[in-house]
Amino acid sequence: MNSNVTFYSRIEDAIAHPDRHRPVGVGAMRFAAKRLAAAAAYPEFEAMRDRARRIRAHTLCRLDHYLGQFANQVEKNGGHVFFAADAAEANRYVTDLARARGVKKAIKSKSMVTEEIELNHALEAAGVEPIESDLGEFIIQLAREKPSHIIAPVMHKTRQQVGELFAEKLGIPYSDDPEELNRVARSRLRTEFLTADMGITGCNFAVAESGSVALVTNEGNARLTTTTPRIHIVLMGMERIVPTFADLGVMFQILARSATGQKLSVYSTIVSGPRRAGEADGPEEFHVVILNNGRSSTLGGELAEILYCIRCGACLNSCPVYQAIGGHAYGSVYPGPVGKVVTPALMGFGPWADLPHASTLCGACREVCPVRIDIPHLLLKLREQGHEAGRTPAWLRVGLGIYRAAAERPWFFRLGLKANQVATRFLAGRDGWIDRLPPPLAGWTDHRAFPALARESFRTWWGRREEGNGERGTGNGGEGGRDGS
Amino acid sequence: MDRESFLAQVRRQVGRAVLPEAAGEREVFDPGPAAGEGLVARFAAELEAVSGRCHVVDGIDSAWETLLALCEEIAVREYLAWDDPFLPLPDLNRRLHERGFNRGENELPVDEAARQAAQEQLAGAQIGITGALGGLAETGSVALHCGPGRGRLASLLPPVHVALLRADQLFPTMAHFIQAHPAALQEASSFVFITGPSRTADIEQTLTLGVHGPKNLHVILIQQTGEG
Repeated sequence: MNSNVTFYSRIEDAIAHPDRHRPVGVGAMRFAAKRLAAAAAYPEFEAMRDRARRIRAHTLCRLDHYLGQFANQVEKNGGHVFFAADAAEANRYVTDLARARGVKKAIKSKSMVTEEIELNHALEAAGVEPIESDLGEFIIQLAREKPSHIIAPVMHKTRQQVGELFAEKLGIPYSDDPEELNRVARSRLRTEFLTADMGITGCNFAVAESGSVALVTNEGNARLTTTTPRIHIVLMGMERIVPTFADLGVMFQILARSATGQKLSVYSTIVSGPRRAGEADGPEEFHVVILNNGRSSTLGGELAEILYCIRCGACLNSCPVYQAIGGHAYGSVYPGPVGKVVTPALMGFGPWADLPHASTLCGACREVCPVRIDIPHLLLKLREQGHEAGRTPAWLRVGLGIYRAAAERPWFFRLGLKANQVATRFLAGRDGWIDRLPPPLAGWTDHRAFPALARESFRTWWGRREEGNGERGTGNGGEGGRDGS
Repeated sequence: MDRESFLAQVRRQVGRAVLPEAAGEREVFDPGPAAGEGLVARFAAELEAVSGRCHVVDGIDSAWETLLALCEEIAVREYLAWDDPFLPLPDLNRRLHERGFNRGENELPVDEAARQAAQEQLAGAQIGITGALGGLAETGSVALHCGPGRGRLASLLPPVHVALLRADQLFPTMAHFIQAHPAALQEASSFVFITGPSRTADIEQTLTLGVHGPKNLHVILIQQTGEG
């Protein structure tokens, strides 16, 4: 993912091979339908979303205060807090701790932030074996792939593909029965849970008043990760904070409904420090790594609202672009609408300048976002920033320059219109549609047709109408859809 | 990075942040009266909807019979449990012992070698018995506040989890529960709302029960005779 070209080529690739990501589109639509049903069955949903949005806004405007309170409480509970400016600092803290405690094996519960900082690479380089325990992440790790969805990482794989993978990597007889595949994964991972020295989790929410970390799973792997190993280490983005237990309750009410359509995930686990005196189980050590990694500058800029995100995945599921190209084509850890904002916001434009353009601005993401983030607005802001930073492709800059020159001069505009009417009629087939535009416009017709301009322009038609004629124009091409295409 | 510089950096950006909804007073969210009609029926229906089993029983004796029947169903005699003071059935562990059941060692030792041996022994238990701090009717959830005498493993390692709950511990919603137990997080190093048995849908969104946690969740909901 080193240049702008690769994003376009990944999209080309995705469109040319729909079989590779079709399950993602199907799965996303199924999640979206479940969310709709859950919202319809919960009359308080809209009020809860408003409440959640106000909680996020309130917290972020006092983030320094709440982070300080949270850190004090974690220490009061007997835990340790480390503030990491970037991915390198966070990874170093974890690997140093692992080395100091003689950790050989670390069991992990699904965490997007550890994907963001590529913690698994750092652990492997330090001689620690990281083992993913979420079933989907376990499959991804076996296949050495990346997640295609933030809550359903293995959505791109069919059961047959998982069956073949297990047969190859785990040396078991082939089966494509999810029940059987699950049984195999459970028994292997149970052994890992009982022998791992360190448990690593992300953090869905952190509660400032009690120094607690909330983890939401359906499988129960976060509970095991925070119970059987002797060290528990949490990696959290610094924006994960909520002030109180009551605020956390509001977040729980909207998270699962937005994500999977469940009323509540099976396990909403909240851990507050290491095991206490008299307790029979739980880790002896509890560490929290609070990660900045570009978040503070996002907070002070035009994209601050993206930090409201609670990582439910609803915007991915509702997005027509995500449904069409799947999660991998984005190339970023966070795909879909939220990824198009978060990725350039946290990492800078670098290779990500084109991501904000991969949107139709239809607003479906804003519609479903549990905390009502105005993602289309943020995408426009990013496009503007990209343009100002000189990240607009040359063809677009030249094209817009020509259009601007024409639009500022009525005679030029009329001339251009006439020329286009003639040219497009010449190129169009009998049905009024162009299947192949000449370069440099050929890209448009790679995947769709372009309509010939109507014989009568809108301006002429409007002029006639204003004169009292009032009849519809007679332009006969390019109106409505193309029949039979 | 040291804490002061990190927080100072955040503070500078907080000063620039433009987040309109952040202005104004913090609202106090009042979920309304906690007592309600039909909590037991709602709880039972919601729990069954997420593949859990709810046994509504009248009084201690029927609760004991229901529990014993669940234990007898499982051929293995090893079980894990919370200590008696935290269970609504008096002398539960002693009575199970009299029936030939062995309570597994709950302790996960601090020493590394002993710890692994203990974990392997713990893994043999087939049923885990716990109490609960409360139940949520809206979602069919049970709230467990793990701590001394209330281990985490009993509700986590065995394939069957039985939670014992009194009907007067039910709340309409999570907000009501939190209002009644505002300090629950400070009091437990590990707290959990459990809503149904462990599940996954990671492979082609096909629902499968019992991934890492218990495959079967039973709640024995104890009403005092005459209670509705």
